[in-house]
Amino acid sequence: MNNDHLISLPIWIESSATAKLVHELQPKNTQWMSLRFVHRESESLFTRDGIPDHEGFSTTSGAMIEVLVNGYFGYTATTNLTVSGLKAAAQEAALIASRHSIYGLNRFTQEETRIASKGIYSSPAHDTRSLSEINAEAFQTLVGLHKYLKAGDKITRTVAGFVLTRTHSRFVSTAGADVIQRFSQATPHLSATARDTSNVQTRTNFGHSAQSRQAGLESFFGGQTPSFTLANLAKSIGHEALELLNAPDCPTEKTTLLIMPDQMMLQIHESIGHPLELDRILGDERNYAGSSFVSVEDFGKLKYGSPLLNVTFDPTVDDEFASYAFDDTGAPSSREFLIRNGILERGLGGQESQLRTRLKGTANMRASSWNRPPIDRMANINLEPGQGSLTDLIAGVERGVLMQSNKSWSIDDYRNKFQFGCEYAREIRDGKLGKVLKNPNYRAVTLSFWNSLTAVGGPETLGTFGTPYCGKGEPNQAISVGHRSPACVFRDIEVFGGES
Amino acid sequence: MNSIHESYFLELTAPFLGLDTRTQSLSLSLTSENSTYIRFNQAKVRQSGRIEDAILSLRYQERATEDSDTIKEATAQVSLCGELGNDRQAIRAGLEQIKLMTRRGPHKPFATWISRGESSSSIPEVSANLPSAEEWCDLVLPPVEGLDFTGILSSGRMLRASRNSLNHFHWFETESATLDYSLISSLGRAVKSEFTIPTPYSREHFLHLFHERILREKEILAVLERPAIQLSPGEYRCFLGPSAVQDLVQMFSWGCVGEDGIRQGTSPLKWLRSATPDATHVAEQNKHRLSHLFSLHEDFQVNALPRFNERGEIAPKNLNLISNGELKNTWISNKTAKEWGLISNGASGSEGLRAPLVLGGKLNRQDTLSRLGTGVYIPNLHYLNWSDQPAGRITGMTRHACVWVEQGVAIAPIQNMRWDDTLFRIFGSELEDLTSELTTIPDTGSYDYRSLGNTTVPGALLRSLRFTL
Repeated sequence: MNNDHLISLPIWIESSATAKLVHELQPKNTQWMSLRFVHRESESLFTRDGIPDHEGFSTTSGAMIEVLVNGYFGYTATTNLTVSGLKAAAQEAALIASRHSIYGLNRFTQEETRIASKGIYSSPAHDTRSLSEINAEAFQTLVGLHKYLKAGDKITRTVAGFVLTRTHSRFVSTAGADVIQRFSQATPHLSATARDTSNVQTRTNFGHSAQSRQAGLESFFGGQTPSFTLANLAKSIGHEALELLNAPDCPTEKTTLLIMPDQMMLQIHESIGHPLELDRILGDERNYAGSSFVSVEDFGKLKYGSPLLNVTFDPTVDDEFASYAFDDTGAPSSREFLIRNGILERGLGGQESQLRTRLKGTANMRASSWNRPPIDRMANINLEPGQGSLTDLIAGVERGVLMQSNKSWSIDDYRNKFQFGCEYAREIRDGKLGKVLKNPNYRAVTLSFWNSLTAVGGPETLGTFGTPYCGKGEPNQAISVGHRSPACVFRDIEVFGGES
Repeated sequence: MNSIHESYFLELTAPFLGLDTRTQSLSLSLTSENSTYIRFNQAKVRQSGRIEDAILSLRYQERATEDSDTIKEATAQVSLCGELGNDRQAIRAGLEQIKLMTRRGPHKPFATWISRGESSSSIPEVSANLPSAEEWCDLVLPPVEGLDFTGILSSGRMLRASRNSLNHFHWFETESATLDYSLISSLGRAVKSEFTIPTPYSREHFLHLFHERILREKEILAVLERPAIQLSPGEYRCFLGPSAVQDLVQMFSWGCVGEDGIRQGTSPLKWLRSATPDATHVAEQNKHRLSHLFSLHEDFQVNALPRFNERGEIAPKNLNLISNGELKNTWISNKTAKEWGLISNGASGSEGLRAPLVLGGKLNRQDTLSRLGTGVYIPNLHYLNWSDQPAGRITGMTRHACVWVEQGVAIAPIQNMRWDDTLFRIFGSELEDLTSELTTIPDTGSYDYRSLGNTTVPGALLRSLRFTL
């Protein structure tokens, strides 16, 4: 990636003096200190109904300072990146940590919880130009998609847009950590809304923001496969929105459910990712995001799903949305099995949670930006492929429903009872796809659902998706996550349609 | 950010506003906080710190002539640090960039030119006198010693400001502290509470209020220690506490009270519009009515947040959205107004709720359990989402201290249930009464930055709610 930024990078992100700075700023009464500088630039272009609608960029730059005093981490975050500003913030962090350490829930040491890693990570971005450099051309392309999205007179609203976010961070500590990471993330947005009196149906590119990947501007001009180019996607979105207008509601029945990868993303995220977060299991999130039905004792024993279920934590996938080399405490990332052959092996917990639970975890203490402290987050949580094409999977279903593209999501605070809705469904009869169904929803309880997994598609059915909007934490943090999955089949699932 | 004050903002932004206002415009919008966040778990501190942040949003517009409706525009956001030289440099760089983008890019047909308006300034006359970041734990934790107290304290100064090249200016400054916490039983059920710590802060007054709350909540905790009842799916009479009603009211923000959603047909409130094209539509409309007991307003008179939006446009002090079940007004942004030939009313860009107030009914709070009779007392809901938005159908979960009640007596907690029902039943056919007493619940959210404002709502007695799982 080049250094052609909209706004100048803070000097500390690239400077050779930054590693020394942390020593110079460290307050005397602290055992350890870190500086995490983050500079993020996000550009967005949107068209509505074939008309240029929005063009903008945002930048945010600041520093998170963490100090360790008497086994307790305190923090301050500031946009004042002058030496005097950082020094004042470091002193305040030390004062807060000193006073709060007597009430600290845990006692930590730097050696156990903050690894002194050194390294660099860069997203696989090939076209490093900014979106604003080509805004006229980009608008022309987005406006041109309208003719595909508006596949008929009953399409009443189309949207085509593109968001490109570049984040540079530098993490240095008095223990010797020095990590530079450069992320480039791209999210195309396409949608078509069709209306026939009170019947309103919307199709998008795999669900809202779901086509998020680590990439540069090249992803604007071509997807990862020809069928994922914006033009090809726009054609099918417009066509399918119209199809839904004339479709019957999804029937209410218990049946076999084939879930496509773009909905598997949400399914994995809500009913595997979140319940396995160790900070939820430890109770940190009970007042906000919730707890988990999983307990510390379940690891190594719990039959989470059928033997076909294999799930990994994998921030090492080349272009998946939440890939990185180090988490925001400096822990180096690696691929780890969370669930193997249906048995729960490992939780999603960084160095602090691993110490608190005495369980193996993952490098996943992440912060949404410079202004939030790191907590246990998902990164890329992926369901490993099995065997067979989509045609094979469909052929194995005598009677069922295929659902794709998330529209609605809700799950309880212990991550048991969920209800998810999709944009688009197809009936399956005697091993073949049948009519289109609108307003498809399904509900189930997490463990019984995953234990009803009867088929996992092969690598040829894999889809890789992500979202910038995973919410959690107090103070609240929205962070990017990625999910790769094949199409999967579940038996005896309660499905139903809309209010009509 | 302590160094950002009204006079600093005026001095900082002045050099950028000297434009040819016939053909150029610039709108600036500031969001800033200097917040202490202390996160608790098990009546201990899990994480704590202080965050200083300031974001300046810029919207630059150009047009060929004063009369032209062909507008080019672009927006930017930059971080401010409170140092004049650095902040001016950041604004200058951002402005240069969006000027470049504006000139290169196409015109935006839905863009509207800025207009002249009134200015305002709201600065607390008396200091909130809030404790420092270091002092809070000494105050909050001793009263909850021995309890499983989990949640967050948020405290500090928040700013919102707006200024544009037509030189209208708004400044809003407040200093506040909120506690958002749960007391959790040994069986993992919780009593949830959110409250604004009164200001000007007084140690004695705060401790008195806090002790009283904790004592009341400990009584509920005792009920939660009883073995839970597992209900079967079906329809249940229930009472929704104010927090549960707040969660439901927030759904009106999600593509519901905005004019754009109604015009697009995605908002369920489209059914409340009087236009009736045919008999089928009339029949459908009759199935989608709200109760005459339900009235929803936006009330900026009792709410601690600014009336100006991100463009500096002023909302009415009170906007009557739904009155006795009838749709009276919607939020209309300037973009929607331009698209549909309407007049905007100071809505935010998302046309969501900002200062919601639901009017009360006749139910005395002390009579809640007896009026409920036999059913479910639901203080909190969780994770609401549309399950069929155009039809107004919502799904969600019960959460925290939900209790089965028989003949007006709390019997035992319930295992949490999934529900799936419509706004037109919950605030329509099934709404039996609302409490006369209203509860003001602070917005304790902090995505990107600390939220402002409150929701003021009654509790709601429902003839039935559909539990599904």
